[in-house]
Formats: sequence, structure tokens, C-alpha cells
Amino acid sequence: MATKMTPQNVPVLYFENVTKVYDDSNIVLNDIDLVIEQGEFVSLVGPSGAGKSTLIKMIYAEETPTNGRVFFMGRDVNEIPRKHLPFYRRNIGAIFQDFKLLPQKTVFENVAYALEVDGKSGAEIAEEVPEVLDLVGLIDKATHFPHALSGGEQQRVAIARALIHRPKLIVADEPTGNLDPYATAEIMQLLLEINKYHTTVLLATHNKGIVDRIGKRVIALENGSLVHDQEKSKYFLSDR
Amino acid sequence: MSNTKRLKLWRSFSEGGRNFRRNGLLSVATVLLQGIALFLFSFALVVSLTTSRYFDHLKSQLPLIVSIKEDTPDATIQEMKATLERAKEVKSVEYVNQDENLKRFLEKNKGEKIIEDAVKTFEENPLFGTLNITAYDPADYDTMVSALRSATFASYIERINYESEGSKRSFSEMEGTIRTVERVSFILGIVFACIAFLITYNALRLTIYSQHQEFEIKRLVGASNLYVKMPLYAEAILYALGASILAFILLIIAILALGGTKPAPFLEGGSLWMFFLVRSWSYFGFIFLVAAIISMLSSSLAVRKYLKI
Repeated sequence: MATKMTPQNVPVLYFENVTKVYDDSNIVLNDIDLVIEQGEFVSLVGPSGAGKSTLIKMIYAEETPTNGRVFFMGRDVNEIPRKHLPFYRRNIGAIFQDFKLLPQKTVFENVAYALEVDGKSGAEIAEEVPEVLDLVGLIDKATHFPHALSGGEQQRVAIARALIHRPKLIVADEPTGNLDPYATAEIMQLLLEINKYHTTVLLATHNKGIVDRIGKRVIALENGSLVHDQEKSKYFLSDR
Repeated sequence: MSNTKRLKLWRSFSEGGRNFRRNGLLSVATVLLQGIALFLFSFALVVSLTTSRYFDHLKSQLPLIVSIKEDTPDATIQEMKATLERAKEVKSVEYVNQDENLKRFLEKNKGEKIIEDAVKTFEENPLFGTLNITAYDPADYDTMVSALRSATFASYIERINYESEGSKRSFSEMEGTIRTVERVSFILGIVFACIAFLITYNALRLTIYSQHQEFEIKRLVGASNLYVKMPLYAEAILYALGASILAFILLIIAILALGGTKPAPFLEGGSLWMFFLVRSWSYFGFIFLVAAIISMLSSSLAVRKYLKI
């Protein structure tokens, strides 16, 4: 990385020779070296057990590398003191296949919770939450509970919650795994829209159709190794 | 404390309250069981305190009786009395001369023909003049007896009642009973406190188990560990508050049901009920403090063991 790093050109993510080995000598990630720049839309593909989830967990410091380092906006993630991790995680918006919404809270309260942990006042919450609900098209469902929403709507709530902190990076781990094709298309459209506002998106997915349709950078993992990394690529399938 | 921290603290308590309500019957059961344990704990303390006061009162009714030799001059007796009254352990000193002692003896044993006939056989008054000493704390009698025996007027002392085997036995039996009551109360108190601890511990464990997914989500959106844990501590405090109120009510019922309004001159206020009433806020405060400590300890342990964040 020869170019001098400024806040504008520092990569969002930099995996520097990252290896992860579990106790039973199971190599989950093997010497991963990759850079994701600000504003990119990257699809992370690979079969089950390729290491996608482990790579994602390293981004929000739920896993630590056995070797190598992970940098977020130029900062070594594993040097962040444990007590500061919650503040670090607010820079990353995470979306999951199972939505991970708080079932006892309404749509508004689910999104607001992310601001409450930040100590935002009621007035600030009342101003910011409707904005982001409007962005995802759920302002009319603010008082609904998650169980009363469709899968696609629930995922949009999760996206709204992920966006509320204005994160530098959105990590989406199989966000359309439980959705029908229509909802899938809606969610992907939303993620692309978010990316247009220069938010970096890292999408981990099995869905070949989505990846091919997006036509953006594709990174493929296989048996823990990086086997493909190409701009404007299609879904990578190795010859097996 | 900054506004942000105050706001977060308030939100934590609100969430703790919501958890308390959400748990419904579990919360009711926890408060009931913890309340009963606390009641038994505080009742044991009340019994210990009342018994101790009662026996102190009984002991104070048994004065130290110093019999004065017959030929002791009056002035010497008055000097002895004055010296004793100046001692800080001494509450009061009464001089009763021989004739008065005989009169009181006969009055006390009025109708006992054998005793009356026995007294008549004496040509002279067989009793001595006495100095009846009452101490503030009967536990000081031993010290006082030693002081009397080494005082300048020791040669005028015929005998001291405390030195007789019978009196010593009475005192030591009373002391022994008090110590036993206190020890049993202490042990029972510890047992009930442990029960209260386990009850809260299990309630929190169930809360953590039933909400484990929520804790994961809270961590993902950047909640600090303390912010995740605080509602659990708040819930524990609510259990403590509910249990304290219940224990306090049960204590009132128990005191009234067991004749707390009957006269008890050895207690301030004249009865157990009045004694309790005057100190009711202190009692409640103490019960709540014990409950809060138990709840915080048990919730800390449950959080540390079962909350994986």
C-alpha cells in the first residue's frame, strides 16, 4: 500500500495476510489478503464452509485472526480495547439472514434502540428514526411489531437499523436467504441505493442470480483461500 | 453524572421494569419466595433483639446485694454508697438497713408459716443492712464485684449475693439462653438470606436464557456490556423492592398476631408494636438494604456465568 493514506482514500477494510486456525487444526481462513475501498459494492461468494462468516465476524471483532491483521479505516481492529468494541461496532451496519430484530419492540423502537445505546435523547431519536424509516419505505409501519411484518419488511427494518449510525460499512450476511424473489429484489435494490450514497457494502451470498445481476466486484473464497477477486464480475464457480 | 449517562441509566431501569412485567408469573413467584425468606430473616432478628432486651431487663431486676457487717458506722455506709454511685457502671444504689430488710423479707414471704416461725426463733434480727446496687449493664457485675473486694471499705463487706453459686448460676443460665437465641437467629438469618440469594439467581438465569437472542442483537448494534447488563441489575433491584415490601407487611402481621400490642415494659414505647412502629422506616430500610445486596450479588453472579457477551 504505497499511496499515502488520507481520510478520503484509506480503505474501509484491509485484510493483511489473515489466517484463522481453530484448536483442532482446522484452517478456516488461509492467508487472506484483500482490500475494500470506500464506496465499493463487493459480493463475497463461496460454498458453505468456505470461510465467509468467519471473515465477516473478524470485521466486527467477534473473531480474531490467528495470524495477520484486519484494518478498518486504517485501524487495527484487534488492537481496539475490549471496552471500546461497542463504540467500534457502531461504525458497521450488520444485516443477517434471520433479521435479528427485537421481537418485543416495534419497528420504530427496533431502529431507535441503536440510537439509545449511543445515549441519544428522545428528541434526536424522534427526528432521526423517521428519516431512515422513510428511506427504507416503512414509515407507515413504525408502530408495527416484527411478527406483523413480511420477511422483506423485516429485513428493511434491519437495514434501517444498520443505517441509523451512518456507518462506513454495511455487512450483509445472506440478507435474502429467507426471502422470496420479489422481496429479494427489493432488498438488493435498497442496498444498491445505499451504496450510491458512498456507503461501502459487503454482501455475503450464495445467490448466483443476485451476484450476476449486480455485476460488481466479486470475491470468492474456497476452503478458506481467496480464489477469485475481480471487478465487474459474475458469480465465481471453480472447476471441481 | 452527564445527561447522556443519566438518560442511559433511566433507560436501563425502564427496560428492567419491562422485563419484570414481561416475566409475569415468574416475577410474582420470585418476589413471593424472596419476600418470605426476607420475612423469616427479619423475624429471626426481631426475636433475637426482643429476647436480648427482655433478658437484659430481667438481669437489671436482679441487683447486686452487698451485705454490710453489723458494726459498720453509718457514716462509713454513706461514704460507701456515695463512692459506688460515682462509678460509671452503677445506675443506682439503695441502702436498706437491717430493720427494713427484715420488714421486706417478712412482707415478701407473708403467709409462709415456716419462714415466719423460723424468724421468730432468732432473738436478734438475722439479716444485714445492704447496699442494693443496680448496674446499667448486668454484664458488669463481675467487674464490680472485683472492685468491691479490692476497695478500701472491703473489710466492711459481709458478703455479696453474686458470689453465691445459686446467683452465679442464674446469671450464667440467662447469659447462655441469650447467646443461644442470638446464635440460632444468626444461623437462621444466614440460611434465609441464602435462600433469597438462590431465588433471585434462578430468576435472573431464566431471564438471561429467555432473552439470549436479544442480548446478541444488542451487542451487534453497539450496546456496551454495561448497557446490556444494567437492565438485569435493575430487574434484580425491583425483585428486592417487591420482596422487601412483602417482608415488611408480613412482619407487621406477625408482630400484631403474636401479641405485639401487649405491654412489654422492657421495650421503648412499652410494647413490641410501639417499639417497631417508632423504628419502622429503619426496619424497612434495613430489610431493603439486605434484599438489595443479596439481589445485586446474585444477579452479578448470574450475569457473569450465563450472559455471554
